[in-house]
Amino acid sequence: MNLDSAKKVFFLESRENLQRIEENLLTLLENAHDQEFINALFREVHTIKGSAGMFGYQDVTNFAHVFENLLDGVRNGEVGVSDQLVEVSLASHDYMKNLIDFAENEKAVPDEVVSEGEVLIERLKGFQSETENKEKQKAALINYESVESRKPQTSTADTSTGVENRYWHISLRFGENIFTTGLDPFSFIGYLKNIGTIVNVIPVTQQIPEFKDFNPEICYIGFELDFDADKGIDKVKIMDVFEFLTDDCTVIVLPPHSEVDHYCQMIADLPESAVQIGDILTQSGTLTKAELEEALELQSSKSTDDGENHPLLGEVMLKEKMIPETVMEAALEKQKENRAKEEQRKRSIRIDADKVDQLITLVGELVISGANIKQRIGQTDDTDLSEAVEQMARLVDDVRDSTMYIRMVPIGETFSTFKRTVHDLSRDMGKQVELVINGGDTELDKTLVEKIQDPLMHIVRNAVDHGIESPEERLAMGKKEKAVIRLNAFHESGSIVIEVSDDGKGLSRDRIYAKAVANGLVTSGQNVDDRTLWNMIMLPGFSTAEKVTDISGRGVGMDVVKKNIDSLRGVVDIESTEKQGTTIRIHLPLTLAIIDGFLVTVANQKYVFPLDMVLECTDVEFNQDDKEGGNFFTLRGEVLPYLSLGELFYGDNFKNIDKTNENRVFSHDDKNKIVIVEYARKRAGFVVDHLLGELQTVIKPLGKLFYNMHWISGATILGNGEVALIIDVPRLIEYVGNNVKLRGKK
Amino acid sequence: MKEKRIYEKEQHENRTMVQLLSFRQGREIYAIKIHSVREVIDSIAITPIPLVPLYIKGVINLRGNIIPVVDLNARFYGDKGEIIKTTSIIVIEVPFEEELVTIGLMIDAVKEVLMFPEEEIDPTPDFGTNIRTDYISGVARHEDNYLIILNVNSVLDIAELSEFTCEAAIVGE
Repeated sequence: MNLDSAKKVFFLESRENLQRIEENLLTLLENAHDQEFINALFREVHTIKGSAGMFGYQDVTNFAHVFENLLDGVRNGEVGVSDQLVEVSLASHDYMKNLIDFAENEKAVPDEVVSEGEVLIERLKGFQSETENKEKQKAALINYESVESRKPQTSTADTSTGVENRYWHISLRFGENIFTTGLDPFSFIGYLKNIGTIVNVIPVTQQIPEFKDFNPEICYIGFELDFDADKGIDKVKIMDVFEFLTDDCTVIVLPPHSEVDHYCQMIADLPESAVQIGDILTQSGTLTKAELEEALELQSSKSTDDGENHPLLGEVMLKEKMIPETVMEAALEKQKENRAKEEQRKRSIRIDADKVDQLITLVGELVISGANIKQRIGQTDDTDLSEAVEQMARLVDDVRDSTMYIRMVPIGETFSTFKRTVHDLSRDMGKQVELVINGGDTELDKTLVEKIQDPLMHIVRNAVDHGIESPEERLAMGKKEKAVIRLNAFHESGSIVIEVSDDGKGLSRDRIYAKAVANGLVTSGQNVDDRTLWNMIMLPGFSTAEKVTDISGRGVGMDVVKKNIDSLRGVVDIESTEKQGTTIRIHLPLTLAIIDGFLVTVANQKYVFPLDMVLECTDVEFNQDDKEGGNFFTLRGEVLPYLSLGELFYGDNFKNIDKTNENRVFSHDDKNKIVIVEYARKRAGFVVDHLLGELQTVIKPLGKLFYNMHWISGATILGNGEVALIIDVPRLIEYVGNNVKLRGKK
Repeated sequence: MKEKRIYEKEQHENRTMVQLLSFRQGREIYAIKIHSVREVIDSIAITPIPLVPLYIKGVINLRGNIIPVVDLNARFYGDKGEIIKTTSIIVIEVPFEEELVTIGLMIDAVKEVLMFPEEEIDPTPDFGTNIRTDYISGVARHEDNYLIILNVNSVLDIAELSEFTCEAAIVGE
């Protein structure tokens, strides 16, 4: 077996695990008592530990083990969730990420990193020893304060003591596929004898289906065990026995005299219904009837605490003499949910991005040759053939769309990485900031997502660093102590908009104006509108921050942001109100590879406008006098700037070029054809010679030679092999909008 | 005849041989080392691009890829090169930012492929040429003529060629 490819998967998956760990930790901060997140955290760390061990990354395994122990403590309620705990866990997450990075690059871990890890391990253990000490103080009674404190009000003094059972209780549910992995469930039980005595074994057979559905390769059976452990055997040692079980197996170990609460949790975690488990537990003598009733009652009161509107299950159960149907339904519901999750996981596959790119290139070729066929068919009068071709063309369209869709990924994942950034930054700077994410499921091209990450990161950091005031300042201004930064993503007229807005102090007009004067961008006293002024902060070397911090304010940054977004054919827009906040809006094209276009000619050359930016095409007669006053025309009462592409491209020579074109289809008069486009909420008109209609275009890059040319964004090959240039509408609108008087080159 | 000459040159096995592609531009004969040449094509429809310097002739569709074409006459002498019957495009790969960039070079006529002993190539003379000396990597005598061997990476220096702004064409207020 090729270990390298397996390792690759390990690194990929570990990164995903780590990301989920981070997400869960951050959610835990807001939602400290949600068992679901704690369980998820534990699972992720456990997976990393297990797979790192398989590949022999001992340092990762060792560290993950300590981390996992702490999380196990949290899961069992032995350790309370606190801000410090989350901080340490975040640091542990970073450290594991570090270790995995070193492992991937096949580098030895430097000493300073190792010692960092040792410090972390001590801190992690510190949390545990705290609870251990408490345990000792209370001697025989196993009573966890942290649990008690987060218990609902219903628990009184007598329920907080453990159950009578003086043995360990172990629940085992093997995954369906355990036989195929070559493991023998029984050997685990056999091994338990080495560290203690098994008091009771009850097989759980409820999952065995009817004979006709029975598959001998699937493990249906589970066990409930009561176990008398030898001296010195603790939970970790018992768990170690089941180390090799895969993730789809459930192992729950409860210490002697565990709280009813824990049993209740266990019942909820097992796939069988509460009644079935309850029967087994009372039969084996693990729980007395009274204890079981208490457990079920607790469970029901818990679910009402969650704010759900269930009838009091305890009451129902008592009335109906231990037939808590709702509990059973809930259990069934949970099973359904799990199954759905499992199926979801099975439905998605991992594909190498290169393969997708190759497919997209091929589809691009297909679109071109499809257009070619269509054009040739137009010259014959075979209606059957042209109908068949028409149908094929529609299919090609669909293939194109679905192919492009493969590359689309939701931006949510990128957004959530900023949670950590905001958390860390605001902590370091003593600010209180909440990050609100909207439209995380907006999908955009994977390449775009990757390239937008850094610019966004910079904007978010800027917002925390410069935008948001300190809590004292905020209170003094009558704002809420906790600031809000919003990340929004949505579609708007053929582009994707990503917005970062904060409710901080906003841009200071006076300071930016002063700086602009100092830099010689405007002369003192000159009237400049807000938008122009805000855009100046994206110029190189322009920073109004009074003090430079680690994070930002060096005057490099916003210009880099703008440059990056420019290279993606995007546009940055800034809105700001002093004392109320700033919104930075990034408009991005939907995709980078294939677009619908609108074909026109200028001086016998073909040009393409991206169709989603085209609002309409119309004939206009310009009043010569108007023209002298500036390039504006009026369309249904709206004044729009316009630009003649011919005059821009060829200057005065344009008049002498013969513009008759045999391809012209729309009109034969000599009126000016104007294409009206909109981008980033700005409109402008472009005068062209002829309108040729819509077509699908595969954008081909023009290459490095045209790196500095901004008015075309690429080229496309037409059906007959001719090359047409694609107009970069955002950039041209920028020129026109800036009201620059356009004159052609001599 | 041509085959025969290449064969004869290969006889000098003890010498390092360089394979060259020679072509005519104006009245001069130039040659470039063949390893950077991908192919030679007839001049096909070149799509002009407005608002770019004269040395960028336009772009062509080379089997589905868009390739820029540089006008050698404009690059060397600053005058637009005319398209004549023998005009050809040499498709060349030049390294730029750790990648190979494909560029077409428009020339008047392709001549032949030659094998040349390395030591017969003389260093660039300091004067006596009418093009920039950094374009030239060496000079060799060949059939009573001087053959100017071009330094492709300098003639087609992407960093230099892409150093233009279309904003220059737009005159501010």
